[in-house]
Amino acid sequence: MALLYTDEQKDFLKMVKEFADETLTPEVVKECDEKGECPEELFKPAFDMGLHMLEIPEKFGGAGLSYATTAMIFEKLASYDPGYAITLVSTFVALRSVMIAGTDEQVQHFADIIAPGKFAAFALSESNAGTDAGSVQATATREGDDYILNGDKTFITNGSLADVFVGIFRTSDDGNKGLSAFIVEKSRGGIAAGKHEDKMGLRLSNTTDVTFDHVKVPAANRIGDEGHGLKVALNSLNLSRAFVATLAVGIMQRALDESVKYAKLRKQFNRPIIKFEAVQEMLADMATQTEASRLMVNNTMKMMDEGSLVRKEGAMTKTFVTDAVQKATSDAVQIFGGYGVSKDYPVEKLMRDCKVFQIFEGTNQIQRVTIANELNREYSD
Amino acid sequence: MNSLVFIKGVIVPTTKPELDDQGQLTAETSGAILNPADKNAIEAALQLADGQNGTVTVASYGSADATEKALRAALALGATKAVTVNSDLLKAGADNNSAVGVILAEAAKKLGDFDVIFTGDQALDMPQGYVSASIANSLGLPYFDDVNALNVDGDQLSYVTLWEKGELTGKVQTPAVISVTEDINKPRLPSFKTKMVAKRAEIEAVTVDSITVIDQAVWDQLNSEAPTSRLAFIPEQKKQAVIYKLADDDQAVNKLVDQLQTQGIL
Repeated sequence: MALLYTDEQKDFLKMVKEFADETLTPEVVKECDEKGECPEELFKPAFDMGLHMLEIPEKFGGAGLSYATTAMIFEKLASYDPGYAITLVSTFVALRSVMIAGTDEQVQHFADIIAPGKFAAFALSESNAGTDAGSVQATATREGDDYILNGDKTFITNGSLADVFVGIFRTSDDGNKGLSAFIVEKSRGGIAAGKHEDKMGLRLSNTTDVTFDHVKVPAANRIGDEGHGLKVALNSLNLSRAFVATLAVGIMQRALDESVKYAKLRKQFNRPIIKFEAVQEMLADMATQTEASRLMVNNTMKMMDEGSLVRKEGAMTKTFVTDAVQKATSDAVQIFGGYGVSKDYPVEKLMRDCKVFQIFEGTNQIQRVTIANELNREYSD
Repeated sequence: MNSLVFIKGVIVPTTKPELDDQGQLTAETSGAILNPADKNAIEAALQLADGQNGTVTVASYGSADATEKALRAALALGATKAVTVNSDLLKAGADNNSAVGVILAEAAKKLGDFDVIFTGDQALDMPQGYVSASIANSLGLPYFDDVNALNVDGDQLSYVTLWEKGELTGKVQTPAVISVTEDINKPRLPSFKTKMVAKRAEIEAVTVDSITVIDQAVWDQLNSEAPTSRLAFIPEQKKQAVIYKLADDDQAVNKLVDQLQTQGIL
């Protein structure tokens, strides 16, 4: 590990290891992965530990950790299962998106819902609004002091688990400027989750469509000004990009750990395969990419701790790390040989789990567009 | 219920202990940790307090660093108050768990009234289990050790305690002193929030500068100097084979017993 951890961070990592060793045993993870779902009660010990509110300030009920420390904890958790980790990340990122543009009262209200141990979700994507987030069609229609929300959201992480959503809805036809963000409590009624997606990876993470059918929310639930919804969404995505990169580092570290252990044990031609240069090359690249990814995440997190929006750095980190994890996990399967594709061994799951990281929170293609646009802006003088 | 839990910061070896040339056990160590059985004692106290507006006070006596680490770990688990016990009464060189128990009993008296005084059944670094008995004896309270199940029944506690022939169940009127085993419960993990709060929480102090809970003469006897170190030896193993050829089994047994008695083995 390249990072220099403080005693406190070491202590936290020990805590999360103790938690995960007990909660996310290989048997539990395998069973959930096979079923494609994670029982809600498996999250209770995570809620009890406050893993869903690590970086939320103490005044709102969180632990008040820095982004950098939170990322270290979630990297460790993701090495056990990234689907489990992203369920918690999605919950606090939704709250963070309220903090970005909402009032203290809104933040407290949202935090009070999730603090005792409830899930939250960020509802932006639609069937025709993925990379092109500005083309959201779900509507919020003003009626006196309320808004009426209608529309279908797609691929919503925690869709059927969430007790509270941050949703992006169209309040006018003015393109990107016609979107607004709202806090939507499930208790308002009219919210229905669709079928849980049967995904190739991240199978412990709940992903569903969510339908909003005449859901009435008070205007006080609008986050920021009308028409500022896309800005709320994009700023929130900057954060979540850095965090999904963290989870990808956890997957890479797991791939490395499993591969080195296996390469030392597996013998061919009377020698452990770690003695063969072809295997050494894969392991060395895997270790180097993991270290580089961890450092990149750490730097981005430190910038976020300093208040930076990390528009470019978040995109660069997400792209670099989530591309790197593809090769690392693929090489892990390669090192395991025939056993690598067997579900009785741990590495095929890593390969399945990591693919979506190149897709969600903005595809790596659109990230490169963002990076180039930022460069263009930086060099405009 | 309001409980007082006496806890200890213990230094844990990180390598296999070995005997050095002087007959002393040596091993590399890391910093102090909360004694494992004390986590069970804290959990038992928290369970008695949960939902009843009960309190859990933790107190520790020992070196400043080990004491603080143990107390902050206990606060992170949910203890309501932490107290460090200061006392210069224990003679330098005295290594007497019974005397430590008297000092803790004196501290308990100063800290107020509690329904239960808990301890872990033994400390990892000195697994003798005398301290809790000494606390109970000094305070004149009922004492149950090696308790591995505990339930509230009105103002009484029903318990299951382990002894050499199995389990013993019964009820005890509070206040009482109870030492728990690591089987009594599964200690909760600290939350990150309580961990952060515990980091800067105030630790109170109580000073024990005189002994009132037992007679002074008894105290003086307990607080006598003990050897600063005990030597451990690897006994020399002498091997010898002797074969007696005797007429019958009875003669053989008698001969063997005689020989063992002669050598001081029996």
